[in-house]
Amino acid sequence: MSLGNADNAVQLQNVWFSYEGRNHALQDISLNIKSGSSTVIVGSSGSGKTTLLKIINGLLKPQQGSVRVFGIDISDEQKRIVRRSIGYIPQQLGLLRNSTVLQNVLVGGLARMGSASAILGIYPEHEIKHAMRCIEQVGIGHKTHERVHRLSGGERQRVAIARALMQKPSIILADEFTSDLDYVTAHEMLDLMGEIRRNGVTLILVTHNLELAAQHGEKIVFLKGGMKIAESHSKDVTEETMKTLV
Amino acid sequence: MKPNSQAIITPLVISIAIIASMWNVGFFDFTRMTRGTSNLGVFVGGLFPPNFGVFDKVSWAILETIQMSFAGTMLGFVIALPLGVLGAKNIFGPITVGPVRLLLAVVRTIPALLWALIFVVTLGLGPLPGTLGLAAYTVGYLGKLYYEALEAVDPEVIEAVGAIGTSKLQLVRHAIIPESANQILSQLLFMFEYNVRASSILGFVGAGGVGFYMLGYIQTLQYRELMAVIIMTLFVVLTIDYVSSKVRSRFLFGQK
Repeated sequence: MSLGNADNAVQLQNVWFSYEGRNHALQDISLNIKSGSSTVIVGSSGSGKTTLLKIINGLLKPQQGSVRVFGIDISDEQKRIVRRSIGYIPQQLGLLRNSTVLQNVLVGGLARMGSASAILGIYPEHEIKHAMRCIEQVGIGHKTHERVHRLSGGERQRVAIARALMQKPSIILADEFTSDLDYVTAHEMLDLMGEIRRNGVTLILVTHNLELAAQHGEKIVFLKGGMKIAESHSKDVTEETMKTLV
Repeated sequence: MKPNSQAIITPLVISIAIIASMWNVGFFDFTRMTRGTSNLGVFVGGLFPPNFGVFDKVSWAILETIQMSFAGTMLGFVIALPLGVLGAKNIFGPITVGPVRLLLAVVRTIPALLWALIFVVTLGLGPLPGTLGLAAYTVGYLGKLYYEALEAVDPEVIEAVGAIGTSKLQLVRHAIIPESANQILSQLLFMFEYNVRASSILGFVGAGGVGFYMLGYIQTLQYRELMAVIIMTLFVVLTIDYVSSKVRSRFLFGQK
């Protein structure tokens, strides 16, 4: 783990954020996420789930409050170092559609490569081997040289996970990444994420699907209108309670 | 205003504008138009049959035209791509984007023929000023097409790759350019086609290529030889259009 072994992978203290000219997207959010745990953030559309993920990986800067990742404050100077260890899977996955699976996954290792070789696109052999291992791990080894636009939805999801794994991440943030998948594929993906977590990676998933949240998260954080309204262990909440909260 | 009256007034205003413009440029000078039509008949009659006795020397001039277009397009491309990157709002801020776009607009305002004339004045006659003229125009035109293509890249791709901790240069090299590669290539081929057509007349200002012969045959009233040059140029332009459309469809998204 490149960011140290702090007990808390993520610590948010009194975080406030608003997009220009709009109401607060996040209001006074404080949150501790234990290292190696699996946390699911649930809430309806506009509740601030995606904003919260973007705050955690430094894509957005809070107007108030602090964000620490493995004890490191994500100030501007530290942002790139922290980002290298956070795998981020956006809702639409953000894959390079015209590039192959291997090229997409190799992108995950760019931040630790020397600038000259990274610009020329000459990847060291050990990086290529690592990328191949990541592709194998997510079960699409036979598609390594296939272009992404030719893959199915589930296969693309796997490519996005492999790209995140290529970063050798300490944390993976995934935003509604099962929303476009059928029931079976969604559970397959979440099982795969569970496997990754067992290797010590902290998972933070965002979803509006309460059933998936209950089955795959150890801890569930409820957001509504930009505020954290509850936080609980998944075994302590029933689906009925969740429906009331969301 | 009622919708019905607007439906009448709009076409009426447009029609008056068209007729006024045509009047001002002399379309309704019937004496002149009649004389012109008669002269056109004589000119067209003089074009046939084409004299292909000029085939050998015109072939070399056409080859020179293609070389000028190719070199000019590629030289313009290597300058236009970085300028396109610097002019894309999703990569750089307004301090960089503004001056780059202004520069490209200025370069684009001057047509290729005028650029060629400028280089003829500074460098002398021959294909070199023609090539540089085409390169300059290519920079202005491709630069604009490229910043528009780069700005069309899905913001989520940029966000996802940027979130890895990549530098701006890595982001451009590994995400933004690969995602717009099809458009970059397609527009490059389009520019090459355009430059082949444009370079045919650069010889009019002494900037090399087949235009030199075209102008010479017009000035010496050798219309049959002129027709041979036009047919040969047309054949080359159509061949290049066909080949580039095949290359484009080979690389376009989703095709193989």
